[in-house]
Amino acid sequence: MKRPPIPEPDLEALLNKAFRDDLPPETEARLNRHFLGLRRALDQPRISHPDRMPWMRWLFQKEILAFASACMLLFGAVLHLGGDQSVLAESVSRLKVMVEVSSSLRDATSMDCVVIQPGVGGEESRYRVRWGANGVTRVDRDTRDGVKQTLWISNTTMPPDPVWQPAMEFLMPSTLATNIENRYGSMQTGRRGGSGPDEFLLAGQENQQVIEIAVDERTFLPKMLKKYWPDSRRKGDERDCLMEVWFLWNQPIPQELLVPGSGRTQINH
Amino acid sequence: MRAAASLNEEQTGQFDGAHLHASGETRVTDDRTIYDELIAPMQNKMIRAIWRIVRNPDLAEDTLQDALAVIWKKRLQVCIHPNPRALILKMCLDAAYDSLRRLQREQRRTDSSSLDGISVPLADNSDREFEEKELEQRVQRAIRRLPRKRALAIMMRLIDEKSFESIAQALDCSEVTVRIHVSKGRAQLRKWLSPFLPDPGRRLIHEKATDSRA
Repeated sequence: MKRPPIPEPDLEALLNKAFRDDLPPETEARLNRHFLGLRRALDQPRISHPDRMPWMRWLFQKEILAFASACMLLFGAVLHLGGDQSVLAESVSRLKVMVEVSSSLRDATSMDCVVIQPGVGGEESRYRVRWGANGVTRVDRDTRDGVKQTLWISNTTMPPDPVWQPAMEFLMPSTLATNIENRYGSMQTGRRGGSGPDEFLLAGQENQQVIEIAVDERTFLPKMLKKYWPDSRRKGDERDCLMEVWFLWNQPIPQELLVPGSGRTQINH
Repeated sequence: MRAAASLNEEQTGQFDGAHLHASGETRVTDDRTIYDELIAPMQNKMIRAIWRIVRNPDLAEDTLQDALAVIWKKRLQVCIHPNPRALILKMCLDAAYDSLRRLQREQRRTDSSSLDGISVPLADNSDREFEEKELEQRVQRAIRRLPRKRALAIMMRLIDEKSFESIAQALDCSEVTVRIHVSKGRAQLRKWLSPFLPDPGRRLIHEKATDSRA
């Protein structure tokens, strides 16, 4: 037979006094807000009903993760054994090449390039761009009517006349590096038909124009850049060229050529 | 996975929710129902139970948050429990007990001197508020010194006047064990809180006097 508990009124009274029910209204309101928050959360489907996406729970089950890891390992092994056909390896290699080219361009101490833009009827516009590490770029332009003009551009000025526009992409090596990184899209690497043994080809696109850059294999500096018309089709080995640029890097450029006002007609801007 | 716990009339015997009783058998089908049928009716009791133990607005807020998190995490377990109300209350008191223990650790960090050994001469202190505060702290200290199940049994008995059967269901133990918990817990509390209790000799005289008057 169970004995009734011994009544201890003094202890009960003491505990009741210590644990008295005197909840202040402001505290009660604060605490009630938590219930309100929970109820509100329940009214929002995404938070309140995580069980409505059981596939999420399924997706993160240990077995599934283990299986996915095994698949990835297997895939990695297949890619590795794939050799030249490895898409991943090719992609990494391409990225590495672009980084090397970009880095070499940014390290260049001088640039001398000729920009040739074929025109209608066989006429062409020709620009010679020379850049020195002091930050000044000299652009010489041969117009179709035989006039020669020169423009000096420092890091802080921009030419207003659109006739200089074709040369603007090649004012500085860093501009070209930025274009390769950002504007020319994901460039493919490969050998160029008829190219020398010491160069490889980078091919990309900008505004649907095809861009090909022949890069020196040893220095990772561009030797030649060509742009083709968007609608140009291969006719044998010939394509309609939109622009052709030939580069010379890190060759000494006489400093006087980079001083504004030296030689030729100066264009003030 | 959804809550699809079947609660029949017998299972919900301790559950006062009229909605659950209405049809004899009710199927709790979603989270909103669980909230409406199990948690919302307990809101006031949960708040007050936590407050009565921790007696500090900030701590009460933290404790309630902890308790709600646990209850929500174990909501399905609550649904199928033979006494959901007792279980919810037990979870709240559990959180309150944890908060008291946490408070104790923090106090130890800030003040290495233990106040447990110091007896406060209450008779000499005229400040009633201070007395009450001291009593609260002493009782809190005594409660957190008790083993968890013993403390929970004492608090459930005291706060909600739960039957031994309900406490046994909530603590998942036998009724006899609960009685032992309560009995031993009371003995320990009596010992630790003796400076605040009337002298046993005087209590005996008082009881005899009451009896003779009767």
